[in-house]
Amino acid sequence: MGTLYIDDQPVEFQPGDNVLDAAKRANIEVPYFCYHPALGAVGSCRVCAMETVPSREGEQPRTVMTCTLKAQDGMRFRFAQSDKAPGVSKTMVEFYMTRHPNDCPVCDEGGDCHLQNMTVEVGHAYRRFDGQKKTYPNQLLGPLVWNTANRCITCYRCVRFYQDYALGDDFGAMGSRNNVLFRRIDDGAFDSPFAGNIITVCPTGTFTDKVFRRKYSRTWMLKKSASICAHCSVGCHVEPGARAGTLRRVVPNENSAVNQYFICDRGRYAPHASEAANRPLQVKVGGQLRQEPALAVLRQALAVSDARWGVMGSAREDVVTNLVLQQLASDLNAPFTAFTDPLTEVRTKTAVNLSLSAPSLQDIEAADCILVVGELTEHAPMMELAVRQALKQGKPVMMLHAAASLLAGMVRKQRSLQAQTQAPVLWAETLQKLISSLSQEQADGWAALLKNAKAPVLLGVAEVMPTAAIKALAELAAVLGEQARVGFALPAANSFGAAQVSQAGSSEQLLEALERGDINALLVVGADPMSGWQGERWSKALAKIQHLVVVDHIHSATVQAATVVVPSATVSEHNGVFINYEGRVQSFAKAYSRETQVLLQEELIALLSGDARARVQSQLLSMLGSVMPSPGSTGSRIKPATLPIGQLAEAVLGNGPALVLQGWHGEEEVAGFATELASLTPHDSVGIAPAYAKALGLTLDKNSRLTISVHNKQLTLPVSLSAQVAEGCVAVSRRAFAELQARLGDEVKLTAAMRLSEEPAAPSVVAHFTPLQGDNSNGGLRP
Amino acid sequence: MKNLKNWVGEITGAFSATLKHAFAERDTVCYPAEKPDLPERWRGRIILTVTPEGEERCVACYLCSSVCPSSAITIQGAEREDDERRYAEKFEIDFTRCIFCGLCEEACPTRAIQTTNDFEMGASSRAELVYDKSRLLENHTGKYPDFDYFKRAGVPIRGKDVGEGANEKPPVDVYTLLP
Amino acid sequence: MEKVLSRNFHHAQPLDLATYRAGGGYDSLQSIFGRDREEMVNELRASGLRGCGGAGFSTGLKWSFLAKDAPRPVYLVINLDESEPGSCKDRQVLYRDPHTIVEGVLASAYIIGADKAFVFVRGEYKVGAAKLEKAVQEARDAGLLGDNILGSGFSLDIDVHLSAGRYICGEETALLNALEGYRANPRSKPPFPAVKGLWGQPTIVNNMETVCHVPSIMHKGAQWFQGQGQNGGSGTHLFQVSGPVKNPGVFELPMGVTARELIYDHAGGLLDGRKLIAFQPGGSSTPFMTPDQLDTPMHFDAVAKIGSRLGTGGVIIMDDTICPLKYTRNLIEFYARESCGFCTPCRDGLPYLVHLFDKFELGTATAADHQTILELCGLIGPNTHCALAPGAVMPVQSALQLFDDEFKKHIAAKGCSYSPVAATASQAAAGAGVQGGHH
Repeated sequence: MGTLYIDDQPVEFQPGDNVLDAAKRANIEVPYFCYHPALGAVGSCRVCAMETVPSREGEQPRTVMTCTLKAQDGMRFRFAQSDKAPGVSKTMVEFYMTRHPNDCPVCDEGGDCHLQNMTVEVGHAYRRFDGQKKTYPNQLLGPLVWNTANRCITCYRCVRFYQDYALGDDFGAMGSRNNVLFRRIDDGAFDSPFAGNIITVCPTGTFTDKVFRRKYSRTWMLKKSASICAHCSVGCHVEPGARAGTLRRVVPNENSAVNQYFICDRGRYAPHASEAANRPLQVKVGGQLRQEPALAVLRQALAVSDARWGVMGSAREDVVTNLVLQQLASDLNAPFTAFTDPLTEVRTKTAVNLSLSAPSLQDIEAADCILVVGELTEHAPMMELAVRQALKQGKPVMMLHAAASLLAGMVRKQRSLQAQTQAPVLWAETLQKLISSLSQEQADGWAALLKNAKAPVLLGVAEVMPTAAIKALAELAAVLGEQARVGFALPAANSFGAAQVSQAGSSEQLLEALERGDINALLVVGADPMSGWQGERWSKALAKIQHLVVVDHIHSATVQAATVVVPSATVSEHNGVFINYEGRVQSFAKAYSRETQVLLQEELIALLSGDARARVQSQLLSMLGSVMPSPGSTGSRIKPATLPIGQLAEAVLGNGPALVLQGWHGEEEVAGFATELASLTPHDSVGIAPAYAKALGLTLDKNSRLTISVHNKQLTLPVSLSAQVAEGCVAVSRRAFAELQARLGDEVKLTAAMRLSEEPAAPSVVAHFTPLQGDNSNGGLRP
Repeated sequence: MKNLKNWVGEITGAFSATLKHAFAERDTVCYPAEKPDLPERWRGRIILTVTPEGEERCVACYLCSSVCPSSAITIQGAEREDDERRYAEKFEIDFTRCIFCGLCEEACPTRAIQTTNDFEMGASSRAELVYDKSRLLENHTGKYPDFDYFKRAGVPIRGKDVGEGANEKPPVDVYTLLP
Repeated sequence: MEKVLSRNFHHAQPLDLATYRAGGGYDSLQSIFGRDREEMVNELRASGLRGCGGAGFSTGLKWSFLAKDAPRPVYLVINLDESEPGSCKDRQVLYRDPHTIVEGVLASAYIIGADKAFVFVRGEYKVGAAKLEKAVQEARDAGLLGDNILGSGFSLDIDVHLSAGRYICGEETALLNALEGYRANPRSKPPFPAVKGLWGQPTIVNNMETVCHVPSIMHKGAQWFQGQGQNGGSGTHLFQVSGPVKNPGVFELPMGVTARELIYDHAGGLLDGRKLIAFQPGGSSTPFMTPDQLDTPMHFDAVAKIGSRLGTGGVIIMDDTICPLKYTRNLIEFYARESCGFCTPCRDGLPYLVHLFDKFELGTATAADHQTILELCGLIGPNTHCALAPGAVMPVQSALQLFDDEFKKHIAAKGCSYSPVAATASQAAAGAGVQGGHH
């Protein structure tokens, strides 16, 4: 705290501020390039100049770079009144302009470009340099990021983000002097799940959004709003930009409570599923497209006689939608659920009940010891980025996982014994052992690290943790005391909210009711039960019924099987409320309307009677604590009552290999329809640890293939040898699980299959993702 | 007497003025037989032009549509598949809105959009006055015969790779260790 | 004056340990081990030893910045990245008497209480580094390095590290980054290396020649060292002279010897028929000195007083056969190439200056360009991240002052009017080629 003086005007500063921070707080427009609040100040651009005011006899005023100067009480500077400092900034920009190409009319960044803004701000207008411009080769960086290297002003922000902030290592600065280039070592897509953020930090058009480029619009012409990412349970703030009824891009919306300045690639590129060629955009009844308005068709469909209804909401639809559907179900005397899989429902609700002290992303970054259970990077990338911030400060991070995960690689790099693989079915036992060793005098290893921590954070991935393990992790937090916080990455954006509106065992009950024939009509909003964990059970049950009304915005399997399809709005196209993994209630606002009429989820309330509507409103307000957060605000955290859960048998330890999920960071139900992002899906393979393969008597190398047999189904896949897969387990993708109609933890038989003789070796699952198709792949779900 | 002199003077003055003008050179231009002599910078119908090589000049930078005070211009840009060269996939000028101010011509960085001396744009419906690109694009360079924007830009297009522009050096070799 | 650094240069091969010791080598350790460290640092300050790497900072003062309770380990890093054009002194010692370096490092490390020493050798001196490594191994075998050296309780090992980089690695914080395996970009100071240096630990970085003086100072005393100098300088220094002189080379002379004596007596004066126009006293990043300044004593304060810098003491001669603008352009191009590329004024400003000098060469320069050079030097100099660019613009600013009419002539004549024909004619007449480095 203190005061310094700029042009004799007092400026307050906070502890830890540098002079540039202080000036910005006082709304003094100091030009800068390399400084970024999340990336710190390095003093490379030399633009943020101010002139010192001599305090001692004989001292000359000199120009200083304010971003590298720590603010101290009583410092005096001249900025606008200085005749030296503005000349310095202007000359630095002039130096940039000696090699900056004349690209503005064709540059994506034009009009939204920090370099343009600063050039005007410092007053550089005329070119006196008459030499030739240096040029630089461009690099192909995959389907998501476009590189135009000529435009680079060498501010080093991209590499500071990629290497220093996000701990990536396949991209960096190359060359020296004015030949410095920022490139990947090899051409191709980035390894990091956060690579899209180099687009955000780049002040020029060197790195631009390749997906946006294909449907470009100047950013001042975009319709924007404050929205929330719908693709994982962290709930980052995003700003979708749309024009002419189509989504063009999604960028991070700065906010201090959740994601601060960045978002992951999943959040940046998955929303483009709204532009998939096969997106349902018109009502379809009995296979015929209809011109009627969506709500009318829905009303008609629900009014059909002799239908005994079931209603299914979704954990990826917002709170209001689910509350309305719950009320509708009650009015129709129908069973209701917001989950498609009983196991996921039990695990989610168990986790939600134990999330009262869930740490925010800031709490995770500030933790001095973190224990992660499950493959966090692949399920909640931004949560894992927060863990990386603690990891790189040398804080101990321990990880218990069963399949390959980017975080595991990083943890092992820091301290090799701190990432351990183990079959999920054994996690509860391991955690219990950890709890008991905490009470011992000589706690060692992980227990010692946790014991000595003042702000330990425990994180789990609810979808892959057995219920017993979820409970054990929370018990561990309780044993560690008040300072310990435990949080769980939940399967979908509004899993927390969905849990609040579903009865115990709701999904099992609905499924059973279908199977028994108690209900012969199902209304599904925003869910795809036929593709989830219980896909084959749902498919069999739904094949029998006469009325399947599906309201969704992706061409899912359930939509394809529906008798009535009603197109709905994506998150950028309607208003709503999500509750994230912390119980934080966040509103999202509609950015744009599509040109064809789709059903806005908020219209669903029109299906209810007046009383029912009032009941929904009061339920909503009581859940939120009577204040609806405005879009863009940091929301408020709710602490709901404990949810009743019910029992469900879970997989037990068997003798043979058990199936575990190999996720990847771009995977999610809607994200699968975003073509560019989905093109980076890793090749399907079966992950197995070399030591375990040996123990099973299999001689495997990178050209081997294995046939997996379970429940009368078989699938042959190339082998991916990885020490990050736990003993006793084999890891396969969600798609492979669906094809095998298997569930987490199922015991399988492995047999060697014909080797890949001509085909290239399958990349390892934690690999440089090679795009499967080029950038011009057509829309639709990947086969 | 004085009054009479004035009266005669006024009448003869008036008559002589009329006579003078009766035989004076006309300023009236007998349109449509004669066309008016308009200066080169006269702001008439708007066209889109091409480079000296015959390629479209417009790169869909959206500057004209943004500066247009009456929002007469609508653009959607796209890239040519093979070489990423930007062009306007859709370029519409609604001449019922256009006020012929010429700001679009001033804003255009590639000298694509230009005003001409043509004003003969009469139509019998409003719809006819919304010109799309096929009616706007003309196969000549307009008032600027030498300008080709892409020769001065850094982006690579067919026929001009990175470093081959008018004032560019060849691209640096990333992998050399030589100074 | 007693020869210190070059006392063994007359041998055909570098001395092995036994011969070195026979000549008095490592005797200084007796005057160092066991003595109070603070007292020795004070002695060093009193001696007036200044850094020989170019900055000329008082060595004793630098070492006193190391906190008494500095967290271990403390490192000593020797800067043998001799890349300044005009400097070739460290190479002589490295190739001809590496044990002098080992003794210097050992002595300095003891005084500052370092736990480990690194010698950062320029990559081009690969052969010399091998000789140094051999000397270090000999020292290890004889118990002069390793644990509990000579029973004193002091342990030290020396790591000879070959640089993979370029000129910027000679900047002390860039050197530290290079040692740590990062890109050789300089760091912001503060924090200074003495507080947070190699791997965040307190580190002292010194030029090789500086530490080579330390043993003799401790052994023979500050008074003796001051007496070695002349005209206000202390100690001896390895001066270098390069350019069109009869006897270019490296000369150990008292600090404070006049430039006239150095150039005309020791380096034999200019080649026949050549006239001295200007000279740079300490490597290519120093302002020019003129013939009327030949009687300036060559020590830091005297040279600074007349507006130049002693730097490394590597004198470069400019005679009348080279166009001063060509000469300066050559220098500025070197610096533009050697920029690390981190900060804008050096990375983009120096090539801009090269371009302007090219215009003078090609004859397309205007008076506005002349003005621009002056303006840019003033804007580049004080606003950079490290000292490379300020050093680069020093000869340019000095050339603008001294050769102002030459710039104007180039503009008026639309090109350079120095003729190479005159130069070769006088060379042929003199009959002498330019011999390389030894004396």
